[in-house]
Amino acid sequence: MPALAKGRKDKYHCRRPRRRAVVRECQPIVPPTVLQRVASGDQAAMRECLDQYSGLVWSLARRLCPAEAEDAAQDAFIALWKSAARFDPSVASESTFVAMIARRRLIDRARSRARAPQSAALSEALPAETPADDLRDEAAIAARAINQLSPDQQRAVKLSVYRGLSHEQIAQATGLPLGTVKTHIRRGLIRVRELLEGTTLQGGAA
Amino acid sequence: MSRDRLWELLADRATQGLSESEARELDTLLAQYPDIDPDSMDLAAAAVDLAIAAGAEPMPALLKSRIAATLDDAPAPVAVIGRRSIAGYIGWAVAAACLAIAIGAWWPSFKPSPSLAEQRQSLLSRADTIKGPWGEWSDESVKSEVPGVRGEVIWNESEQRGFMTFTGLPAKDPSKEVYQLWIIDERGMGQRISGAIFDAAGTGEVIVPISPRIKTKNAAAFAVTIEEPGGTWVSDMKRRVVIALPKKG
Repeated sequence: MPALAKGRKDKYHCRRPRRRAVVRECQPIVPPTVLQRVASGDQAAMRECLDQYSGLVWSLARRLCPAEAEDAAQDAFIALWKSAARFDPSVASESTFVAMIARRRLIDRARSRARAPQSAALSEALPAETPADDLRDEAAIAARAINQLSPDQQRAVKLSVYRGLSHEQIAQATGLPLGTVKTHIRRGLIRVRELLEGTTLQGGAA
Repeated sequence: MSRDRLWELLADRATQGLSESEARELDTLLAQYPDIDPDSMDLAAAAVDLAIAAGAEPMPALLKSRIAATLDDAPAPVAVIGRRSIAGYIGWAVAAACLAIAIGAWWPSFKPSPSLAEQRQSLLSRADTIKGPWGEWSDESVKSEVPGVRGEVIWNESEQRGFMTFTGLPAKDPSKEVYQLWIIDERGMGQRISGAIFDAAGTGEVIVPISPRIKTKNAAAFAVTIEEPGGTWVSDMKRRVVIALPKKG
């Protein structure tokens, strides 16, 4: 099971071996997630999906498309509905998948409308010093990965991912060359992905 | 090198999007390198986003209803249907019908989400909620950068949430600096916990929810500092704003 499944509360179906039972054989029984149920046409799932992820999608929309957050959030949910069948719980947790689909749609939308520096009021929490032990799943791994980056890399990744600033804007704000900003962001994301996958990605670290 | 270029494009897409020509280039490179997961950088960016952000803000009830209605009309699958076979059309039509039925079944049960002010009032009515006014946070060596801020903080330890109110807190340019709340609990200042990163409206009263990712243990003090954009993992606490020591009653 990849590291992504850490923290998931699986139920186990246990079957006793035929001869002299010493250790029970346990196979996880993972109930379908809300996105899997949406994809399969479960009538109650769309309500649960909207209830469960409206806050996440709304927060992303407020942050990445503050001037048109309502329309952007609606766009993101439509994209999520269309992409529900792509969700694979062995690759990522559902919340990470939702954030990925929503972010991609919101970034495309902001780009198509000539993005501007973000200025919406925010209220977001940051773990302080030892965040990884208190977070779960990919977010915990990502927090650890961020802590391993250099201060410049951390700043570039946070401004880019969290603030939604373009690489050019980050270069202007930090005084770093554009190429360096791009490298910091790429290396930072690759490092996060390495930890998420538990492997070393090839290439792209230069 | 094409592989490096592929990673660069994936990182660009995950953080700032691609132009049409870049998107075509990415498609070409992904076809050349099928071993690379096209979602890998997007998933990493999403995980970073979730790690930094916390305490999702409730979506306005009217918007939630509007999204439900939009999905009820089922226009969403159209873009996907364009590349599908007749069987695909039928599948989407069935899915859309099911979705319409599903949404129709739960539509009337939607209730407006309470506003921050209502949520704050509700929390304030609880007996185990503590509250205290903001005070200027200065000493001999470091003075508050923003004198004259008024308001209070309320906090409920069992719920692990609370609210701040401010009057006279000037707005910031979030691309340059932000306000950050720190919660100091029984573990002391050395293990202070980030509780919120926020901007202010500049005029009138501002309500900001507090939702620390890490569980607090008997939170005793709440302090606001000015930090770099996106907030910081560890603050030197030199750019002080206000502090509060809330108590019961």
